[in-house]
Amino acid sequence: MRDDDEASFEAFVAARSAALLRTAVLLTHDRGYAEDLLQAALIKVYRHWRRVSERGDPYAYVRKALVTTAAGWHRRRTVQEIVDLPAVEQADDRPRSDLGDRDELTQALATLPPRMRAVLVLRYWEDLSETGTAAVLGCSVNTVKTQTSRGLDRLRALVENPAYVNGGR
Amino acid sequence: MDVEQLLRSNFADRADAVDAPRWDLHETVLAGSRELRRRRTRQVAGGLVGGALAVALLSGGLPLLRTQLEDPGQAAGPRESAERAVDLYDIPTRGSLAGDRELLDRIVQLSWDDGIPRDPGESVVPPVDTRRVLFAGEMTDGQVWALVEGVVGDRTLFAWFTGATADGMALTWGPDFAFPDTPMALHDATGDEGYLVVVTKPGDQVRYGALDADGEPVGGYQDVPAVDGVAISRAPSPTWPLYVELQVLRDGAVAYRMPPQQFDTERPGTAVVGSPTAYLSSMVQCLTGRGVEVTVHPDSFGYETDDPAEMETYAVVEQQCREDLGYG
Repeated sequence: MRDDDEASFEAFVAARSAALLRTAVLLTHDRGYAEDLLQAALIKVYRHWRRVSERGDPYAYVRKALVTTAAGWHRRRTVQEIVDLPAVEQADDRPRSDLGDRDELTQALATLPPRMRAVLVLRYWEDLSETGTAAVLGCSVNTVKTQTSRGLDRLRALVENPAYVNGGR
Repeated sequence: MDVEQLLRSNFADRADAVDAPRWDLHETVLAGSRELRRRRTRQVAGGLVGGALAVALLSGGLPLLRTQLEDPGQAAGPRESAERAVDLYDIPTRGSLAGDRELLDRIVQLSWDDGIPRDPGESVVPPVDTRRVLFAGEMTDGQVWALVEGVVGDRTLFAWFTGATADGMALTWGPDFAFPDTPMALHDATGDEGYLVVVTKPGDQVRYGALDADGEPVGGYQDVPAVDGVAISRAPSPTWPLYVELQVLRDGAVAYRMPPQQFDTERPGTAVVGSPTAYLSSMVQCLTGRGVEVTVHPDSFGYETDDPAEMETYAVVEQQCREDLGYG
């Protein structure tokens, strides 16, 4: 890679990695996995950085690499049945942020299938349209609509639970 | 109550709580990229690299990533380091037939050919002299099951062999990558229930549960007595992929949650939906049939391009194949 490409990539990492990490955390629900995911996505993108950067703002491309890499990991863990991780409750022993009354919603999000969660993150955090979300995930708009609807239904079932509502939430 | 508004608020709160990335993220990415390129230049199997990288990332973050990215030529011999002394690979053969030397010798000679075409440099068949029988046992109806591991390059692979008798044993599941600490489990998904064999470290406790489609255990978890790290039981056959969940407890805490590998003896040579063999072969067939040039790795497939535009096209085709094949 040429020096100016190296500089461009470094500048991109410095400027945008915090935003990408935030998305990765929302995708994975785990800071450690999120950092690994971001590294893996950046390594993928770095390999053809010039072509990526020549096409405009690389953020969208890196975000796509982030999301598809996350989906790939999910496939490894489910379809290929490679489970080499400690149990979630063991791995997730870092202090949680003070989310107050939103903890249960966070926990509910963590139970969603990764692709469904990715759809919600792209739609409601990245503010992508259904078409844009479909492009990132490499699926049809109908799939995005279905996944969004099912995901919201599952979350709605939680927040409409009287115990949730009456808990001062 | 507007769940969409709650969702946006939740995402915003949690995103605000995320600290800055590691200060050396850029350097780490460059180091990882250089190492990948170097390995590819050496024509080390791309799938192995991707698999090793992904697993390293999954398994423990940077320290493991760095371990996995170490020069394989400089790494300690896979069977020589003290750390490896506790690998499943290094534990003497267990099971009711562990003392049958003649049988074990025959088992390590069994074919590992799973019928998936691969490039010569991406073989997943370990040399016979690296193969070790981790488990060999007879089921109550006389079936003989065995778990074998072997080494290819710097990676350990495993395969399960079963047979109605010792003479009729054949490859049933695998080859696939093994990890030093991870328990191995095979479940016969034929009929309503079948044998479940779990091979883990001595002292571990094993239990399993049947999960519903939401991942909740139906009726809780059932303990499976383990002797010397081997647990044998019968478990209900899956009504959907990943129906059975194993939990392996180490030092009193749940160390692993995992589905067992599953097979169906009524369909010899095929695995139930959800297994890597079925997934890999059907996806490769679908993709190549739609004009995508695919490289088959031991546990995955890749594309013969680095062009972002082509990759995007391939990703769309891949998704179509997944949906058409029921993996969507």
